[in-house]
This record gives sequence, C-alpha cells and structure tokens, in this order.
Amino acid sequence: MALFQILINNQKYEVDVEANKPLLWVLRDELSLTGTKYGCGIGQCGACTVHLNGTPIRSCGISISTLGDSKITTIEGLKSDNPILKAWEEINVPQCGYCQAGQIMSAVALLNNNENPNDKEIDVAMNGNICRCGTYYRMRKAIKTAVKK
Amino acid sequence: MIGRRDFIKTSTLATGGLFLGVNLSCKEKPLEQLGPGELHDFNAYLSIDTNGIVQIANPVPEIGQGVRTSLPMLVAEELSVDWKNIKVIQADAGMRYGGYDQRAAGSNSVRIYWKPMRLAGATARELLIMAAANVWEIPRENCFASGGFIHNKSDKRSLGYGALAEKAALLEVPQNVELKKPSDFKLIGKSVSNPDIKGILNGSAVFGQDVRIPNMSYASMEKSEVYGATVKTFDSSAALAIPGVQKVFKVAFHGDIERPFCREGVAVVGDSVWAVLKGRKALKIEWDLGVNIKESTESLHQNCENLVGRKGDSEVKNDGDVYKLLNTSSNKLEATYHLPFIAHVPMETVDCTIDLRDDSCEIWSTSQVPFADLNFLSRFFELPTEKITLHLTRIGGGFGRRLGPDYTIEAAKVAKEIKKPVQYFWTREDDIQFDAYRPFSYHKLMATWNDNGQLTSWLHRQAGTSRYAFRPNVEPYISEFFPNHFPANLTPNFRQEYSLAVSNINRSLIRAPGNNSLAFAVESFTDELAYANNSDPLEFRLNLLRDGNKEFPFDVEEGTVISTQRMKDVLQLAAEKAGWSKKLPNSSGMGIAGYFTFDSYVAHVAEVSVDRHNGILTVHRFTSAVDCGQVLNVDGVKAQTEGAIIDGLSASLFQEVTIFEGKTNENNFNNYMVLRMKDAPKAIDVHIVDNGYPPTGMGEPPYPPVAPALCNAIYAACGIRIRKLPIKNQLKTF
Ligand code: FES
Ligand code: FES
Repeated sequence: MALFQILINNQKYEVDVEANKPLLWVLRDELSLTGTKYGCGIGQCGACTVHLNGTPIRSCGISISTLGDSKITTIEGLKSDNPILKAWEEINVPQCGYCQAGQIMSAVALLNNNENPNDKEIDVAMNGNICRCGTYYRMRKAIKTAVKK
Repeated sequence: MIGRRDFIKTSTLATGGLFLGVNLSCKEKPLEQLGPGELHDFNAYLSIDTNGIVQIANPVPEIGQGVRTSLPMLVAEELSVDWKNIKVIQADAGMRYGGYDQRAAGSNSVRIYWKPMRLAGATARELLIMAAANVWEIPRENCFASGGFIHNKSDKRSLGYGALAEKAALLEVPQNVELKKPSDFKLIGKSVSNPDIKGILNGSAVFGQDVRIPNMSYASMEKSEVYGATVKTFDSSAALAIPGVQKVFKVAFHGDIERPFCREGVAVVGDSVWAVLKGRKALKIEWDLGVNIKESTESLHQNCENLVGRKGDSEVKNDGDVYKLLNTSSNKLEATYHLPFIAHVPMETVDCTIDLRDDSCEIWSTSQVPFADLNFLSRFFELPTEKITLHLTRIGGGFGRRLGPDYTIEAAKVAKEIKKPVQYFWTREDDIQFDAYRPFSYHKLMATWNDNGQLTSWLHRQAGTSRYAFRPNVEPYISEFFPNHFPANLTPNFRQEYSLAVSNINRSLIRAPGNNSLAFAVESFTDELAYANNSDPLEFRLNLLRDGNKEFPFDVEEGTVISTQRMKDVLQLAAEKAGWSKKLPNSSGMGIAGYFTFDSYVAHVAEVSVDRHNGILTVHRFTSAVDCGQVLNVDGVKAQTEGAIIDGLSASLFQEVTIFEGKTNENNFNNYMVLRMKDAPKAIDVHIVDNGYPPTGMGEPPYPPVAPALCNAIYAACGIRIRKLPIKNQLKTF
C-alpha cells in the first residue's frame, strides 16, 4: 500500500492503495465516484472512460501509480451545460443508461478536439464504447446536434 | 363482492396532501370476482403534495425498456397534470406493489398496468374535481381538470392540485370513474422526456453495482469453466495474503449436480472490488470436473443435423398430409438453418447487495423478477417476507439474464456465511462463461406449391436443446415452437416436428424466447420460396396472407390472437417507407421480414451492400413498421425498436457461444463481440401503425425479425443465402 495524491474533477484526493490498482477501482471503491462504470475490465467496452488531461482513456487499464499529477475528469466533473449533455437530453439517448457515462466522456473529448467531426471521425472516436441497448443511432444524431450548439 | 371502493383507497399524507393507493392484483380474475381474502394491500400509489408535485411509485424493474416513463405516463394522462410535475420513484418488491406482476418479462408491463394505472389517475382527478366543486359550492359538472389545475367553467377561476390535495384526501372515493377517451389523450401517444435522464447524464443514477452501504464488503466467486464441476480441494493462503481480502470459503452448488442452478465455487470477500479480483486470481483450486467435460458444440452440430434429417420425435402440429405433398409435388424446396447458443451480456454484469441482520434483511436487487427473488430469500434466510425489504435499483440491461435467481442465490449464500453487508458481483468473464444461453437449434424446412404459386404444404422440423428439456411433464418443444404462428392456418398441409438434442449446457430465455430463432428460419425460408417462385418477396408474403382479415387463436403466453391484416399492414408500411421497389446500386439490396410476438407485429426492411471481395457488409438503413396497438410513448417505442435492431445485428453478425470439453470458449467482449458504432446503421426509421387495438409491449417484438430481414437483404445484394448464424466471414467468397 502507498499514498497517492490525485486530482479528480479539480479536487485533490489522497488515497492509500496498492500501486497497481486501476483508476477505475480507485474511483469506485475508494472515492465512491460511481458514475464511471465497469463493463469488461480489459479495455474492450469503454464503460470506464474518463479524461486524462483531456484525452479519453479506459480507467480499468491504467494504474494509479502512473497518474502523477495528471488531471482526471469523470462524468461527475462535466459542466451541466456541456453541449453534449444538452444534446443527449434533447435526443433522449439513454436506455438503461449504464454505458452512457463512458459514451459521453468519449463524445465530449471528440468535440473538444474536433469542432465538426464527420461520420468517419465519429466512428473512430466512439468505436471503443459498447452500448448493449443499441443507442448508436441516437448518439450519432446527438453528437451532430451538439456540434450545432 | 368487492367494489371499486376497496380497489382504491385514499388517505392524507403526513405532510398534508393526498395519498392514493391502488390494488392492481386483478390480473388473475376480474376485480369484481375477488373475494375479501384475495384482496391485497395497495400495490401502486400516487401522492400529491401541497405544492402539486405528483409522486408515482413505479412497480416494475427498469432495465432500459422505459417502464419508468410509460407507466407513470398512464397516471399523468388521466390526472391531467404536466409531465414536468411528475416525480417517479421505484416501488420495492412485495405483494403491496403487484407481487408477481412486478416483472420485466414477456413484454407485459403495459398490458398488465394499462387499466389500473389509468384508473388511479382518473380517481385522483375526480377527487380533486369534487374538492374544488365543494370549495366553490358549485356542481361537479361545472369543473374540469387540466394542466395540474381544476378550472371553474363559468368564471375562469382555478385551483391548483396542491391546494386541493388535502381536501380531496378527506372525500369518499368515487365509484365508476370514467377513463378518458383515446381522442382526448394529451400525453399517451406522444413522446415525453425520461424522468431519470439527469441522473444518468451526471453520473448520480444508482445502478446495482453503485449501491454503497456502511460497512459493506464486496464478494465474488471463482468457479470452474466446466459446467457442473465441483471443488475437490482449495488453498486460500495466497488469496488471504492479499491486502483487503477478508474471507475465503467454498460455496456449494445449488440444484442438480450435473446441471446445477448455481455452480460450485470458492467465494472471496474483501474490502474492495479490486481486492476481491486479486484474491480470486490467487486461489488455487483443484476441481472434480464432473460429467460435462464431454459436452461440445461440435457434437451438437452433428447431432442436430442428423436429427432434422429424419422425422421428428414430437409432432407439434399437423394439418392435412404434408408428406404426401412432399412426395408427389414437383414444385418443392428445402433448406436448413442453424442458430447457435448466444449469451445475454447485459452491460452491467449481475450483482446483488444484501444486508442480513438477525431478524431482518435489506436487499438491493437487479432482478427482472424481484418478487420471485424475495420469496426465495425469505425461505433461504428463514425470515417472513415482511421482514425483508427488497429495493429495486436502476438496472444496466436485462435481455432475460436477470430472470433466473442464480446470482441472487449465490449472494444470499455469501451473506449468510459472512453475516455482514455485502455486494456480490460477477465479472464479465463470469457473465459470458457462466450464463444460461439461448438454445442451440437446427431447422429444416420443406415446402411445396402449385402452379399458381400458392403454397400447398409446409414442414418445419426443429432439433435443438430446448430450454424446457428438463422440466418434468412438459414437452420440450413447448418453449421452442408456436403451433399457430404463420404460415400455420394459411396452408392446408402444415406440420411442425421437434426432436430434443440432449445436452447439459445451461440455457434459458433471451429476448423474445423461441421466436428469436423461429423468425430467422421461417422468414428466411419464406424469402427463399418467393425467389423460387420468381415472386417479389413482399408480394409473395402478401399473397400468402391473402385478402381480407383472418384472425386465428395463438393460445400461448407469447400471444393471444394472430391477425393476417395486421401483419400485412406492417409489411406494407415498412416496404412503402423504405421505397421497396426503388432501384438500388449494384451489390446493394433490400430484404424484408415481418413477425408477430406478444400480440405485437413488426416488419423490418433492411438495406445493405456487400463488398464481396473483402466480405464487407454495410448495413445502411433499417425501416421498420410496428403495430403494438395503442402506443403510450412514441419515443419509447422507437427507442426499443432501434435497440432491438442493434441487438439483432449483433447476434446475426458475430454472436456465438461455443463449447469445447464442457467449457465455454468465449469470455469477454474481445471474443464475444457486440455491435459497435462503426457497424451500426446510420439510418433507422421507425413507423407506427396506429389502429386503436389495446396496447401491447415493445421490448421484445422488434428483435426476432431483424436477422431474417438482414439476411434476406444480403441475398438480394449479392446472392449469398445465409442459413447459419452468425454470419462472421461467410460473405468473404473470393
Ligand atoms: S471496463 Fe474498462 S473498457 Fe470495459
Ligand atoms: S444505454 Fe444501456 S448499454 Fe447503453
């Protein structure tokens, strides 16, 4: 066990955990930031997507010891007026909702880096996120709606 | 005899306001026939506080099917209140809230709750009107309800529900309250927002795995990949040495040793999920692999192929003399189709949180049938159900996975052993390896037709691992065949035969059980017959269904009556909206399939193109027509249809569970694939046939016709007929 200081949603946290503990489980078990979800644990589903200095990463595959003073953003840290959230609500995207935090984090990162993504770029940015309820059609629509906002 | 008065009861809220309880237990018998002893306590309720906020307790688990929107809509409609003033809470499981009717299964929530939920809203509305009439000292007829207010017809005065709620609570419950006429609906038949959307978007929605209670441990179980294996010995020392691991113990199997309901395993309890996962990896277990190490899907393929090559063991239905026609007719066709085992893979793996105390218990459940779990847990913990509070959390997908209480039983065993609050969970590997799969099946179809192109006989032989194989005194075909499904009753000679392929591989139901396999076989073969007749696939289907409307009893749980007209209507609407006869570029094609399940009718037209050189399939568009009777939430119907299309495409393109030496080969999303954004159609158009029939469910019906619509489109695009799912690389032919 070791002490780590991490910066999540602009807030400093100190946790005493094993160095190889994945960020996903630090968020969920230690900090009760349960908006970030477990879906596969092997980087295949994207349910655990968070931002590391603005880049979407799978938090199930990155251990706490590698974070240093990086800035982590989770679903809880998004501003409620984010155009992606607005569009998601307008298009009524979620079904069960379980994958959605990860989807949203991927979509927000996409728009942060690309003001007007085309279909191919949407495919690439969102392809790491599985939605078992099948909301892909609405997510594509919502991303395009957010672009207009 | 019990009157309406006993069906609905009111009282005053502690904080002032109206509480209204409804008894929904009127499914088995009409309400009027219930004796006093059969009447249960309120099982759904609404309350109106003094600010006019209406709180509705939703009785059914929310697995993404939108029931927390659709059922409260019924109340809001009759109550004439703005949707934004509705607050939806989740009812616990219990007889009070509907008992066995509290299930996300069989697409039946809307069918069950359609009337009682409306009656609750209408009664509250009437009470508020009566209260307002009393205040104004005018006849009740001079008042009407709208937008959360009771209005005075003569002088434009109005009173808000909040101001009237407490007075309404003191009035006697009116009898014979009138429900709104469909033409007066303001909410039903429109789209409303999801009451839970904010929590989903900001991460605060609490799913099963998000439950956090004080002093809670986490637990999970290591099991053998071979179904039915038992623990010979295990060494827990390395696991216990891992920081955070609290306890390690064996959990015995549950049920039959060859086909256990819960597998045997070694449970690891820890202070975090991570500790538990590491603890599981560190376990050393020696297994007794049991009898199932001989199981393989390869041998099942051989077995089923042989079985459909001969007359079936059971005759499911037999009209006329199919064999005579097959022996004498020169116009005939036969084809064999196969569907593999598939897993449910809900996005949230299964979990259950239990706080077991000496004389009571609190549970956070993710079951699709929470009342069944409640009863099981009551027996298992030897606690009366009144001492158990079973909450329903939001649930990350169901698809039928959460109908069996296997994981709840495991959680209960762990809770009993450690006697402290625990969240028990499965990993994705557990989810795929230890699932109960959709049955494996082969379907051989043969048909004949006359020189006018009319079908004269139809034989459907199915062989497979029925999920009813081990039920005592039940024919195994019952779960796999529906004797009145089209083209039954449309051809003079019609026969269905079933042979059971013996296997211990665990299976259960998945979205539209039985039908999801039948639809592929029947609707693909219908397409093949159309081509064999040089007929357009849509025209061929319409001819088969003939002129006019014919209705036939369906008579199983999956439907009551099947109508030719309603089937024709969805086929025609989907075709028309898709531009069925329009010219498509080379290597592109459209395919159609229509299907009936749970009294709903759905037709899909798929538009695809196939790059035969690289074997690349592009699904451009799905155009769907659905008839689910009176539509509640238009957006919800569309969402369910869109989701079912994606689910059906996943199953058609990739999904297959294979077994070797009793083990499931697949174990995560890298080898058990789910459709992703890149492969999802960029256009899905859902059209609704509105015809005034009573409402039916939509969680399952759009799923079965997806695979045949897709495969029929592939044939139209490139001439390759897919008869075995999944498609995988069958399109790569050069
Ligand atoms: S849980 Fe991290 S990618 Fe699936
Ligand atoms: S909304 Fe259920 S998995 Fe995406």
